[in-house]
Order: sequence, then structure tokens, then C-alpha cells
Amino acid sequence: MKIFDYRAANSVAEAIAAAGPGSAFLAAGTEVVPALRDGLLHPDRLIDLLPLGLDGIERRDDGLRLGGLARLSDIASHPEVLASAPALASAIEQSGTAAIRSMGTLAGNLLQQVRCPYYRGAAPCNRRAPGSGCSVARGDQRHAALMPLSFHCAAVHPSDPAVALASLDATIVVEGRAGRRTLSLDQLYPAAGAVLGVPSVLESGDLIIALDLPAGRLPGRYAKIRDRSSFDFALVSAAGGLRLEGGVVVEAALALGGIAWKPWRCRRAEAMLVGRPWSADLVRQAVAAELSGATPLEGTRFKVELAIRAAATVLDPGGPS
Amino acid sequence: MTIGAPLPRQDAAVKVTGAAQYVGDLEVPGALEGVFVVSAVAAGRIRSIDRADALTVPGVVSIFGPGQLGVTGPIEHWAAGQASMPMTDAEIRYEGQPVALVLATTGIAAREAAARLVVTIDPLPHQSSFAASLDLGIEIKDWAPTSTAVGSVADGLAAAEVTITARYRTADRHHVALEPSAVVARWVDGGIDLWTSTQWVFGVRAAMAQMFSLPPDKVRVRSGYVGGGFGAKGSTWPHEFLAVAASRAVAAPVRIVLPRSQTFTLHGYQPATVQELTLGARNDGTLTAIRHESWNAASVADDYVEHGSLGSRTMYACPNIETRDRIVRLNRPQPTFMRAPHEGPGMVGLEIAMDELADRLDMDPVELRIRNYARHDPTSGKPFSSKALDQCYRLGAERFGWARRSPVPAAWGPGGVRIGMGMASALMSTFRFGASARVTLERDGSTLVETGAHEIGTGVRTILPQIAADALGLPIERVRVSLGDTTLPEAGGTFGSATTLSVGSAVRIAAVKLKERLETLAGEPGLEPREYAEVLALHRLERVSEEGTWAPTREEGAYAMNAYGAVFVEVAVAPHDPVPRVTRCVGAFSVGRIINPRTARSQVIGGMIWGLGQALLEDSRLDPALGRFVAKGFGSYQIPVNADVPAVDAIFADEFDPHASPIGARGVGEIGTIGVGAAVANAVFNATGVRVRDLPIRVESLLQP
Repeated sequence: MKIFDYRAANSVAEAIAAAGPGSAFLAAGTEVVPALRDGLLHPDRLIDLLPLGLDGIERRDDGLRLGGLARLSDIASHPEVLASAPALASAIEQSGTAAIRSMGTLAGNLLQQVRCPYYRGAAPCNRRAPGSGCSVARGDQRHAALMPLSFHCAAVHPSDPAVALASLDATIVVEGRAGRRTLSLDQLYPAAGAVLGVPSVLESGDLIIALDLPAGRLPGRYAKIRDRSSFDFALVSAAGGLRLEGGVVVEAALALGGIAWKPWRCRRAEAMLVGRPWSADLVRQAVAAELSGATPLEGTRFKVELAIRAAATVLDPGGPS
Repeated sequence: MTIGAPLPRQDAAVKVTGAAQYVGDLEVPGALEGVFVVSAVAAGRIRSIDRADALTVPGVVSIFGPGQLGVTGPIEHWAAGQASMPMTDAEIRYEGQPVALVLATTGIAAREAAARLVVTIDPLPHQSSFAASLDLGIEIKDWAPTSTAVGSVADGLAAAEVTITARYRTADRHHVALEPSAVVARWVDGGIDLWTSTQWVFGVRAAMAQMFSLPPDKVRVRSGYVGGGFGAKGSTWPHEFLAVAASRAVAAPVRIVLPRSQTFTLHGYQPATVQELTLGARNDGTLTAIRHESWNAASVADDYVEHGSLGSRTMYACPNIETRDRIVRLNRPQPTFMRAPHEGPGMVGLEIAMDELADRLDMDPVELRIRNYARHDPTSGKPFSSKALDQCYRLGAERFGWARRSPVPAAWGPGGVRIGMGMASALMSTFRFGASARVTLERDGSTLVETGAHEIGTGVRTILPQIAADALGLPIERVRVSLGDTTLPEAGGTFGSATTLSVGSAVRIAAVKLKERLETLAGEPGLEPREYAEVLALHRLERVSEEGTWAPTREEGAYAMNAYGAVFVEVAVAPHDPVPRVTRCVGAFSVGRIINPRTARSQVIGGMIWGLGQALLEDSRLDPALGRFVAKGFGSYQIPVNADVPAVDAIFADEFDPHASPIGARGVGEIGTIGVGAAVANAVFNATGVRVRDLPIRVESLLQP
């Protein structure tokens, strides 16, 4: 670990101004501190964001606003979140550990690096050392993506809350050098085919100050399939829900996790579901169609069936709501 | 009677309050901190080491490369974990092999400099894939035979009405003790003063004496609290030798605490096995043939045989048994013993095969095992020293509620969740070693037990005082214990589930001798403990001390000795999330006399949880292209967390083994882990109808639509 400067930011403007080459933002440290220890991050300067606050959860006319630095556990236990976005509360409850959820912030969770063991374990990895090659192609693929970013990286995005947020049409409010802008969750992450495996498209000085959950969305559920009963990342997860009228699907939302470098919003599956009478078979066909574009690595093939089952759990009108 | 009392751990308070000092906690004035740089390739030759950038880090003192520490390899010694000694030549034999050692005044500086060291290695072709190399398997000479035969399996199969043949696999697994291996080495006055986190101080002393050409009395080895060993700290490993060499080279104390990533490659692991089993039986379940062949991944650094077929030689009454164990030498780190070696992986194959046979015969799995109950060792013909496995089957089945099991796979529980029950036998051969101990009684009645054994979390620090207190008739509060130092009476390593029976016997002998001495001094037998002080005062003695030595006798070699168990497991498999979850686990064990039911129970339930890891999670995947283990930390190498651990219950058969040890004990430590893997696989079959023969059981095996 090399010696670095530490600076506490007292305003958003100060934080943005302090950012530059070699700097990194620090919030709870649940992501940054292990990365420093493991040699994944070599900053010259850490800019501490915690003095900024930005951790409120407020009801607005058009939905809910979650502060970028809101603690995960505060979000998961907030009555407004539990009422209008239970999928998000559930996704948080199933992520990390109680200690991590109590410390970790929402924005930090969305911007975390991948858990690919090659990236974490100092093996050849384009994300860690661009040009060194992706070991997954010829190596262990069990935790890799069904739909990789590109030939250069096959890691999955590890966040649970991001999957729920994708199903809820959340938008991200970013403050940067050029002022304020709003991104969809899909826009936060790199576009397919990108060469560099970066956690997001944000640039130095960009700060997520809030997330907006629009009103009137399906509250949804979250299903997570993992090897270990707790403290484990998803093999596959699903967030979303349905609204039926007379047995016919009139509204559907579905996002999948554990299958791509970003939470995967399933627009095609949603379109197949809406307007048809609900059946377990219909859900299976819709998810299969959504994933039909995937050309999975041999070691990730099983995730198609897992994704179908995870989706079936959240798109089951008879299931617990 | 102090023996048999469920006394709490004597070291519980210091451990839970953080007062216990581990090697990494020791304050050593002037110590340099050492960090290894390791090879990223599995085979090759070091071409160059560029130190320039690393030496700019403030605090760096020395950087040693191959051949610069004044040691030569290999070391052929029974206490060394591997013969091959890194940093003695330019050859790379496995990924993770140390190629340089950085010494600095702080750990932070040493780590930063290690990261900046540029080591150039010319890679060579390597062979690391075990699965692809079984035909390279060879038999080698080892401490136990690698092949045995009684009767004729061919004849047995000809007489069989039912035959089962299948291949079973267990994964590479790591010890991942919470306390990484750590050593503080001091080269002083032409000798060695060593603190190391080890399960065997006398083994380290012997190996160091040979390596550095010193008489053993010039080597002192101490081991305080050990934060888990599980076999990884049972032998002496290169980092310990190299720390001593470094201390000699810089004339200062050197501390090396392995980073977590290096604990995956520097002190062994349980190697993957492939096992091929053939069982022949009559329709009534009587076994007519057992053939068990096992292969394990090994290293080019040394030999290690995972005797996978060991249990099959003695488990069931069968006139025709053939076994064979082979190793496959590969470019991978050296494997070693891991809780539980040999039968730990080996009984996975035998006990899933037995379940397959029971299913084929439409017979209850417990009934099949009782039908083939061995009354004497079927391979050697020797009687057992003591065996209460029949009790275990009965007690375990009762406690578990085995009678409620549906024999038909895919019985449905509430909510569409499939519930399955499975069981397996457990067996571990008994290890015993010679040991000595000293017991000293002070005039004020306080008593000290001294022996060079170790507390690695098993309860030794509680059990040994208990045995002394029992023999002397003293309350446990008056007895202290001193462990883990080669200046104390010699004992063997704390491994092989052998410490209580071996060292406990020595303590018992010393305490009995002490009592006899007091009675001689008093001139009367039947001395009361309250009279001890008076006797000492009368003879103007401040203290009396006696040593006891115990060793297995030749006569006892006439007996076959094993610890036994019967494990019962319930699993739940949900249709939309078919990752198997264990919901209940009961183990019943035949291990001889129980000295302390609390620590014994703690040992076996911990072992059963360890077995759940083998069954469902622990899977160190070796990348054959890179020749390395992919996971190098707890993030990717998974062990169970609390949420994975169901109600775990353990019971012990009422038993006294008169031949294993004078205190009636056999071995408790490792038996709890054995059998769990097979029992879970058998429960999964009962739940789903899917027969899984590879551990850990992964969700992808259970995914038929």
C-alpha cells in the first residue's frame, strides 16, 4: 500500500474540485479499503465524502429520492421504501452482511468493482492490467457472465440493489464539473462491447448525489440464488413483478442480476408477457427469449435455467408479495 | 471425578476478550517484517530480479533472491511439509512458490516493496490439470501400504447378485485457518529461538536442527495460542526455514505473517481425489466384493498420498477387498494432511456407493450397513480395540428420526420443497504417539502440568489439567498447564486426533506417580488431597514433581483401532432455488471414553460443520491453463457461514477403550468431519432422485427442468 493524502470534503463543490488524476472518492470504505489492501486501487489522494451528508430518504411528488450516501440498511428499513419498493428492500437485505449494510452507501454499492476471482486474485485480467488478457475465456467460468461486456471482460456486476433499482426504473442524479445530469441505470454502466472493464461511465469529479425512484411502479420482489445462504454474491438474481387483470398480464417488470456486467433489464421478456394470460410456461418462454441472444461460455450455461427459475419466483402472481 | 465433567474451556476468556497473544501479536524489539514475492507461473526459471524500484520504498532493509539466504535444498525430513526448498535455486515448480523475500522495518513497507519488485521468469510448459492426468498415476512407498488385497474381488463379483461401479470426486480444499501461519525467528548465539504458529514444536525443532546443522538443544521452538491449524501447521514449511535463514543473514529478528493469498499455496491443502468403487453383494445385502481405487493430485515438490481407500480396508465385513492409492505428480503446490485426511475424502466414495447399493437392493441404508457389520478387521484379521458403531447407528437413527424417512426419492414437503434424508458411516484410523509430561505440586496445593503439546482449539488446555486433577483428587481450579515449548517434556504433534489419548496418558502417568510419591513420603497409602501440603511441609519440600512417559506398546499392535461414527442429515431442495440446504444433522460417535463432554461435543459439531463445507461449498478450482488455484481469499473460496449451519447434534456411545490408551480414550478430533459429505449427497438423492457423485454438490447438478 503506498502513502496517500486524505482530505475530507465539506461541500459537493469542494469534493468535485478536489478530484483529479490519481484521486478516489471514499465513503463508507467497504469497497475502497479492501481494494487498497488488495492492491486494486493506488490513489494519491482519498477524498472523504461522509461529511457531505447526502444520506436522506425523502418522499417527493413524483416518487422517492434516496441520497447517494444513504446507508443501505437505512434504505432497507425505511417505511416508504418498504411500502413502494419492497424489491429494493429485499435486495439490500440479501446482500453482504449486516455490518456491510450498516456501513455501505447506495452509490458506493452501485459503483463497486467486480468480484471475478481472476481480478481479485492477481491473475491475468484486462480490468486489472489492460492488455493482460481475460483469464475467464480458458479458465474457471462458473461466476462469469452469461452475457459478457466484451471479449475483454466476462465479469458480472455484483450488486443486488442495482438489479432491484433497474426493475424500478430508478434514475441517477450526478453532479460533476459540467453541472448536474440525470442517467438511467443502464446509462451508468458501459455499453456492450466496451474495451475497458470499468465499474461505470462516471468520470473523475462525477458524484452520485441521489437516486430517484419514480412513483407508480410495480413494487416487485427480489429472488437471489447463491451457493451460500448468506454473505454471498448471486449466481443469478431477479427483481420485478406483475399486474394481472382477469388473469391477463397488463404490466410486467423484470431485471436479472448475475448474468451481465450490469443489471439486465428484460424489456423483451416484459413485452412478451404483457397482454397474454399468465402461465408458468409463458414466464419460462419470455425469459428464455430474453436470453436467447446469449452465447454462453460452457461454464455459464446453467445460468439460463437458473435465471428462468429466479424470474419465475418474482413473476409468480400466487407468490408472497 | 473430574474426568467426564463438562468443564468449560480454560482459555475461553482470553480468547473472546482478545487477550490471547498470537505470533503476529508478539512485540519483538528490532524485528524486521518479511514478505514473500511469489511466482505467478507454475513452471519456469527465474531470469532476473530488478530491485531498483522496491529499494526506494522507505523502510526497506534487504531483498533476498534465490540462493542468497545461505540455505540449500531439498530437505529430506519427516517433519518437513515438503522436500523442495524455494529460494535455493532458480527453478519454479509451482505457482505461488516464493522467489524473493523482502525485509523492512514495517509490514506496510515490506508489502509495498514486494509489490514493486520486478521478477522476470521464463515460463516453461507445465502440467497442472488433475482431471486430465489420471493415467499418470503412480504408486509410491508411504507410511501405509498403497495397495492391499484379501480374497479375490473377481471371485466376489462372480458370486454377486448386484454390482455397483462408479467414479466419485472430491475437490481441492484449503485449511484457511483464521490465523494465517506466522513465525518470528531469531538467530542468537549460533542457535535458533523460534516462535511459530505450529501444531508440533518438536517437529519444527528436529527439522530446523537438520536444516541448519545444529544440535536440537540449540533450537528452541515455542507456539502459544494457535488460531486454527487443521493440519496446515502440522509440518514445518518453507516460510519457517526461510525466516530463520533471513534472521541469520541480517542478524536481527524476522517476523513473517503470511498474507491470506499465500496461505493457499505455502503450507499444503487437501488435494482433489478421484475414486473408483466397485461393490458386489448378494440380494440379501451381504457384500461379496469391495474394490476401491483412489487417485490424488500431488506435487513435483514432494510426495503426498491421500490414502483414499484406507477406510475401505476395514469398514465392512467382506471376504474380498482390494484397494489401491495412486498419486499424480503435477506442477501445483504441495498438498498435505487436512482435517480429516485419507478417510475424509475416501469415505465419500465408499459411503455414496453403499447408498447406491442400498437403493438398488431396495434396502434401508442403515440395515445394509448393519448387515455387513465388521466384528474384526477384514483385511488384517485383527480384533478391534473397541468398537461401538452398532450403538451409533441405533442412537443416531433414534435421535434423528430415521424411521420417518421415505425410501422413495422425491418425497414432497410443504411449499413444494423436497425434503430428503441420508446417512453415512464414518471411520478414521487411530493415530497414537509417545508423549511425556511433568506434573508439579506446590506446597500451596497449586499444580502445574507441563508438556510440549499444543492448544489449537481442541480443548487440550482444559483436558490435560482435568486428567491431572482427576488423578490427584484436586479441584480443576488448582491446576494450570504450560504447553507449546520445546523446553518442556516432549510430546508429539497435535494432529491425527491423537493428543488427548497420547499426552493425556502421559499426564495421567505423571500424576499417578506424583500421588504415589506423596504417599511414600507420608508413609501411608490413601492420602487425602488436603494432606498434601502437610506432607510437603513435613519433608521441608516446596514442591514435588514427577514425569510420566507413555508410548503405544507392541501388545496393543494386535488390535485394529478406529474411531467410528454414524451421520444423519436432512436436506431441503426448493423448486425455484434448488441449491441444497441442510436443515438437520445428527452424528453419533464411537471414540472411546469421553474426557470432557463439552469440548468433545464442540470438536465433533465443529467437524460436522466442516463436513458441510466439503459437501456443499469448498471447491478450490485450479485453472489448468494458468496452473494456479483461482481463489486466493475468503471472497472466492467459500466456507459455510452461520446461515448455512442447521441444528447440529452430537451424541457419544458409552465406551472405554482398554487398548487404545490407559485413560480409555481413542480419538475425537477429526471423526466429526467424516461421513458428512456422503450423508448430504445421499440425502440429496433421497430428496430429488438425482445421484451426485462429485463434491461439493453444486446447484447445476440439480437443474433438470
